[in-house]
Amino acid sequence: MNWSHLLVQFTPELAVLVTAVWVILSDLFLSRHPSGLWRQCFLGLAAATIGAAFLYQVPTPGVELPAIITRVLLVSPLTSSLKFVVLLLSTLAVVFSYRSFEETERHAGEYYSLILFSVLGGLLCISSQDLVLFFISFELLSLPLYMLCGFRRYNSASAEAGLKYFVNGALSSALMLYGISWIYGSLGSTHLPTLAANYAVVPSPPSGFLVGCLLVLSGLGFKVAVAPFHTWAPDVYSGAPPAVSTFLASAPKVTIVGFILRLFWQSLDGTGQFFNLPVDWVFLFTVLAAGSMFVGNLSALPQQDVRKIFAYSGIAQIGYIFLGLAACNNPHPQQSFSAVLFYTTVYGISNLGAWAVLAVLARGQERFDLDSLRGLHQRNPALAACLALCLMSLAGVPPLSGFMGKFYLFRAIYESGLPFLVVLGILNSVISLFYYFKVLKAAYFVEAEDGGTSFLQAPSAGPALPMVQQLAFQLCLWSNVVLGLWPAVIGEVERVASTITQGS
Amino acid sequence: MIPWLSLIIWLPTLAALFIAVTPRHWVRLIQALALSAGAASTFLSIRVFFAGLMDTAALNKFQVVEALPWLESLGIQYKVGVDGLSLSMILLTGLVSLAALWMSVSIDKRQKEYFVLCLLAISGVYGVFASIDLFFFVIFYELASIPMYFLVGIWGSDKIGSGRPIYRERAATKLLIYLQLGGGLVLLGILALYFATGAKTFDLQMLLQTQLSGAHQKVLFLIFFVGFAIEAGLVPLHTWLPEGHSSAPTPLSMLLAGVLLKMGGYGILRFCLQLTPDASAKFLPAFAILGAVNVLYGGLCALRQSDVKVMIAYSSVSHMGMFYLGIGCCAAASPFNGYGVLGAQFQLFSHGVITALLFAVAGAVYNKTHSRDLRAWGGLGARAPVYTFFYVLAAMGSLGLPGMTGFWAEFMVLFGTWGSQWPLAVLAVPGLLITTMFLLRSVQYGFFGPLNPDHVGMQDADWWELVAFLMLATAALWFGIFPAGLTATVLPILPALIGGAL
Repeated sequence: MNWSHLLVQFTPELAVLVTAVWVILSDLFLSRHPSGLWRQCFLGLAAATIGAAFLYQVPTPGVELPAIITRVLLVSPLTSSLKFVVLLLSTLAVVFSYRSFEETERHAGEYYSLILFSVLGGLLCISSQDLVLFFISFELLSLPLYMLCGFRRYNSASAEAGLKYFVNGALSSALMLYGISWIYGSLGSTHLPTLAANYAVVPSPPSGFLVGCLLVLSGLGFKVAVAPFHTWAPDVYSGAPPAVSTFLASAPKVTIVGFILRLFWQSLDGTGQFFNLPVDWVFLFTVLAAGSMFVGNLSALPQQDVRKIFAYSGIAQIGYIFLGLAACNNPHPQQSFSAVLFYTTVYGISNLGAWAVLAVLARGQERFDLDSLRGLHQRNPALAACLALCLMSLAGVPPLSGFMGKFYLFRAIYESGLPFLVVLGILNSVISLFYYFKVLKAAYFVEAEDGGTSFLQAPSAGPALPMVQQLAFQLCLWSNVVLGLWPAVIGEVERVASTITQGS
Repeated sequence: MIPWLSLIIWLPTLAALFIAVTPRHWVRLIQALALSAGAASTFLSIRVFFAGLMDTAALNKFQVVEALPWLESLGIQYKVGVDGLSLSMILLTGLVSLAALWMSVSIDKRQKEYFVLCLLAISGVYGVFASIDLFFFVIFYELASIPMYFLVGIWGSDKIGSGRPIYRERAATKLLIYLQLGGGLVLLGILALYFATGAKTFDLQMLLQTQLSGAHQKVLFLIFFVGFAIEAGLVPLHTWLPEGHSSAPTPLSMLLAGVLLKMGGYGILRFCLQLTPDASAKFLPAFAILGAVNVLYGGLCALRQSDVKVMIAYSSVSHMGMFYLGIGCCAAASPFNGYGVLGAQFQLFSHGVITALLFAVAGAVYNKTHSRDLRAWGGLGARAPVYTFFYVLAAMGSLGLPGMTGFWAEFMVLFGTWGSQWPLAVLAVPGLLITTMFLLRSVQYGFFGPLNPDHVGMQDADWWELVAFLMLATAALWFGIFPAGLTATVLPILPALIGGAL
């Protein structure tokens, strides 16, 4: 047993944990200065991100970890890459939180430590090999989010968002815990590999296991807001401070999709059968996906509040991801796997970029209807460009990353013999253009009103964004182009996917 | 070896990138950058065209092919080349895009964004005509159509006046949704093709060698045909076209009518006729009826308009009908059928150049008079002889006066249609009469008759406008007098389109 290996393998988690504790202590004993706390949080997360990237790039073969660790935590190229994406998104979300709303200044220590603990929960979620650890880390992910959503406690919308999210989240946790208990009851373990081994020796599939799996899936569905478990999302996303929504809409979703991939997909065989259960998984995921896409896209059409548009667009985008999950009887499962992985990553970054614009704008405005974006291209061209590219990417406009993701996804779906779903997907991306471009119309078509209610009085005289935020915007902006046009990224995703399918 | 085609495609994008980092008030530099990139691309496209004309026999296969590996695991590569079908389209794009850039000098607000978007769209159009890889075809197709949304919505103009108003924002949204629906269908078709052929490649050269089963051909034909017909204004799917074309700023109307419509037509020739020949032979004669409807309905609608840009837009609907009539001949076992397809391809070029000229003159006059209403113009010939000359010239070309390209296109199409489906030719000929009526009417209302006192002080054409007019008019006359210069490039590829020699 070598403890130094343990340190190396869990660098990201440890860095986040140390930073979280450090931020709390620093807030208590050293300095309550919000910029300082923000900087510490940012540096910690950035270090963790680099650590995750390093772990992904430089695998450590032959490392002996203590059995007590390997039994519950898995480190593989998949988990490292997911952790890298989640940490990158979290870092960006923290960057954009800077002075986004008043409470980030008054309660900076709490704010940043809550985000850090949530990220820690997400990282453990991705790695967890045992359903109990998964549940605990899932709660560690969720609980800070409830608080963050209600962080502006004197704002009724924010308080409502926090409460609503908490009630729904508690329900989803309860469903999941209940499901885990069914799984444990029917197969006698919560350890994923042991479950598979136990299952192999059971003569016929125990129905309790099926109930458990469906309940766990429902719990996860709540968390990613896939229809019909989406009802909380629009209110929460629009009520929560935009900086929190920025985080909420990106990192946790990628985490949960990553875990769904690990839980359901790693156990799938080429014929699309999950543990031989008597459920048509293709049909199940198809219904979730199609429902989510249509509900999200059609509900977004009449919205006037940009936050609600983004919230519904998030629901629709999760539909696309589930479309990829529905392609599980692909003769080459790694295609579907890598398509889902790639699309999730792309979705995370593009969605974060779009929300980040609102998070930064929230410094000076309360309302977020379409009119509030009026003349953004004059007030801040970089913000407008970031919004434009991110939304066009989400809408699937070539050659941006969202198009590449959708194309890759559609190809996998077609390969698995579901051309009908490709038609649905394309139809939905045409519908979605309508509201994505409605936002862009608000930001680009109209000139800013002189002396209007806009928060930045003169086009050039807006408060300058901190350098880190400007760089982060550039990163979001260019990632849409780079992920879309640089084939090496897809090559990496395929490499990760091939390690999974070979492993199972 | 110098990658001429890639240079043609990417020079405008390069200029767009340079413009993106230029300060926005350096308008002259921005214009100079855009124009020099556009001129370089046009010059190179003329060079490529004449190089192809030197050796027409080789044009039945892709020439000057450049290929770069891109995403091998998916069978995608960057591959461009020209054959007889696309050669004249590259030339057309060169002419129309440069003329449109010259006309853009008159754009008076937000020039930086304007030229960035415009150059990106021009890159996209070049790319559509040149790319052999279908994945990149889709990318270029969208690159050409997405900027149109912003260009129409921000720099366009509203039609207010008699009749139903057309607002540019609404027109832009409609254009976006329609074009994307078309693009989505094309994407679907390309994915279906990828799997149906079993070749697992997007390389058109490889796909052309595969044999598709009858059922696959029918499905693919319908997907591609509807997708491209939305873009190329087939009648029940055309409603975005009059609104979008008329609301767009002048240079964009030229690009939309001059080359974007042609992307649809080119797509039908390339995908339907070349990839699914059996299904085309089965379905296209039926769709030729819609073509005749296009000719008549578009003409009648144009006859009804007092707004000059809406009128020209409906004349495009009418003229695209000729294209559908022409390709409708591809099946009939008649010695004349080849003329129909040849004429259809000719019509793409001819209509592109002539309608771009019409839009250019109409838009230039709009800039001076601030009115698009023909009745408000009145007698401009007295003050603006240059505008009058070029408008009359374009109108003559459009109504098919011998000596200009429009004549040859319509002649060949009707010749082929007469040989294969004579009732349709009988139906379409009144369409020519209607075209003559509305064009002459617009000439009479707008340029002749008593001078409207509002326009006494009107200026004639600026020099940059004159350059644009001259380019397009020269092309329309040159290929009207020497139509063989165009047909010679198409003839080698014609057997692949109609399944036999002419």
